[in-house]
Amino acid sequence: MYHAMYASMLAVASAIIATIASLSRRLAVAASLAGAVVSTASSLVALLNTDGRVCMLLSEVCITPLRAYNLLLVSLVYLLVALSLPAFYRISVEGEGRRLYIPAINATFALLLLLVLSNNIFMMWVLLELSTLLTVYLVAIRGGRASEAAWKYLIICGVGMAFSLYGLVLIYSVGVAEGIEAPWLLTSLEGRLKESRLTLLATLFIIAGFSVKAGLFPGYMWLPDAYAEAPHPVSALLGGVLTYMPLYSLLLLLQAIPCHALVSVIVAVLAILSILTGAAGMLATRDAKRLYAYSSIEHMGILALLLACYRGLQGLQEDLAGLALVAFNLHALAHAIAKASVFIGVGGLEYIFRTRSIDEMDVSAEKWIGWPLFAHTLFLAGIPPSPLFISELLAILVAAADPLLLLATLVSLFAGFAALSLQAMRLYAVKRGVRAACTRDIHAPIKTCLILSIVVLLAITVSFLSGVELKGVWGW
Amino acid sequence: MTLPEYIAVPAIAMIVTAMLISDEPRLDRAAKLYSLQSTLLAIVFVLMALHGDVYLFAWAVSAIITKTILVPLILLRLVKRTERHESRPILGSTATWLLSGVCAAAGIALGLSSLRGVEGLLLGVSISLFLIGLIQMTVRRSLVKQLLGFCHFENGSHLTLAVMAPGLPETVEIGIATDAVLLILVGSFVAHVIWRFYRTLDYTRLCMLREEG
Repeated sequence: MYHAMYASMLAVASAIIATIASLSRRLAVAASLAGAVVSTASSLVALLNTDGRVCMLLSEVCITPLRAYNLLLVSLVYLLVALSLPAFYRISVEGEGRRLYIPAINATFALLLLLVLSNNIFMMWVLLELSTLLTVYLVAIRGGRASEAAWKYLIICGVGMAFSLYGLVLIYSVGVAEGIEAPWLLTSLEGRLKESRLTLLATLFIIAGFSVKAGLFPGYMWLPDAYAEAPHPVSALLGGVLTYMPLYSLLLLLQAIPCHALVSVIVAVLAILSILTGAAGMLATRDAKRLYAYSSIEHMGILALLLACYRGLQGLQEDLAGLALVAFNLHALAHAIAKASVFIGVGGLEYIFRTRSIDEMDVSAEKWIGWPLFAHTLFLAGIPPSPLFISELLAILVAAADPLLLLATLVSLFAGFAALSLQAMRLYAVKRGVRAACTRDIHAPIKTCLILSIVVLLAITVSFLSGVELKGVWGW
Repeated sequence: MTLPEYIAVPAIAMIVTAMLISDEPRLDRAAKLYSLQSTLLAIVFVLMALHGDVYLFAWAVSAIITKTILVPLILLRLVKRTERHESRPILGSTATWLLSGVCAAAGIALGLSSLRGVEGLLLGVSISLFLIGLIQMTVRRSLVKQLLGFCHFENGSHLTLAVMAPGLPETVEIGIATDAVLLILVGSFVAHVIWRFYRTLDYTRLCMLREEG
């Protein structure tokens, strides 16, 4: 079991070393790639060796099957972003040549890998906040409109995180009042706190804060601008993993603290509204990056819905609750890989056509990027053999526990599917008279990312359907 | 822990400084007033430490280094490189003071209804700072004032932690203090980039983001 712990610490250490090494411009890209490869390999070893819980460093960090799974999730997105860096670094858009650009990307992944392992509720908050601040810097780095987007991101998420800190302080003080030892640790709180008005208030504060960071309704306003204006590897980082981490943190917190029925209802309502907002946004936009940004809002809504079902059904229908957790984990991994790849692909297209407008890109003519990107779009829309098809089907099965929830889920999922499909037809339609503005070859790294991620997504589907099981994480 | 009533004096003074910061049109003076507010926070920590929670001496030192010295220096550097005066705010001086007063009263009432005695008052001060910070971020146009609004949040959160979260590991306090400095550092960087492009720190004039097509 300690092999899993050591492997996971190696994953974090490799990202930290990559951060330091990438301060040298000559080594930046290579160090990032090396760090990402070691991190992914270590996460895989951790996942294969984990069984039960092991904690270290005065229980400040822990490894469980769920945490090892998420460690691999973050590492895979890290690998995709690192693979794309040679393409985008070569292009060298203004600001991305800054010395701290690549170290900041590596540092963000190091913080997120540590967050996955953290057992301290306040350190989780600190790591999430620090990764937010680093990505604000990365979004602003291009200047101009990007700086405006970064400011919006900073203010809205900063206020949200302040609310969540209050919630965590309340949880801690309730733990102290109930005589729990080390109430800053999730493992100390598990099953020990009693339901009360204070824990309800605390949970609501935490959800208010984390939902803003996750881009859920109504605090999503920062997301489309930040995703669209950020450099492309940063968009991949944001879309792949950064907006998912608050939901992951919420999952861990809700497993440790009492979850009132009202909380599940509120989260479910926010989730449905987020899916519908994402669908509406996708229909309204003509910007390719904003299209996939609104798609992220939709998918974060789906994850929040599964989280609400998981906690709401615990104690009532344990089978369905377990299924909701499985669907949550499956959806999180598949979305992370698909979304990160999509932003990398769209970045390549923006460079080739010098525009993000859906109507001015002849995507079908760029077969090495266009067709894999099209496949990813189908995956994101939930068309088989996408793993997202399976997770959304499971979401419908779980939602069937309540007729009203089932209706809302069906309507919102269909809205999301229809919106992305309509826009995809527009994006991938043949456009005569549109020529590529730049012929400089950036295909190789981007093609590698897109094809690798298609292989991984198909592997996820095959392994899930063939009955591969990870206890407490996924499997029939 | 039984706290003496005179701790209320620097605590209430923190609210007064928050109101003064909100109303102050000169941004360099506002940054210096924030330094004063953070010094008052450190004094509150020292007084609390003298009456039981000895670890708060370390919090006081950390507050002096990060919030009294570093954060105001970062803000003063930003003001020096950009603009010294705030654009006309959305709300006038009288309205700002009234609104801040209402926030302060609401915060203190909430604090005293949650905890008794001086602890309740300190909690009320932290909630007041939070609310005044929120108002400041909404009604003041200057990005520097919005950053200072964040600083009120940070001081409010720090005070809440001291009152309601005794015995926190030192690593947590270091993490939260580091986050406070980094937030202002990153915010200053972004504000400076905005200034280079827009030649203003008035957020109502930042309207370049539009949907394309």
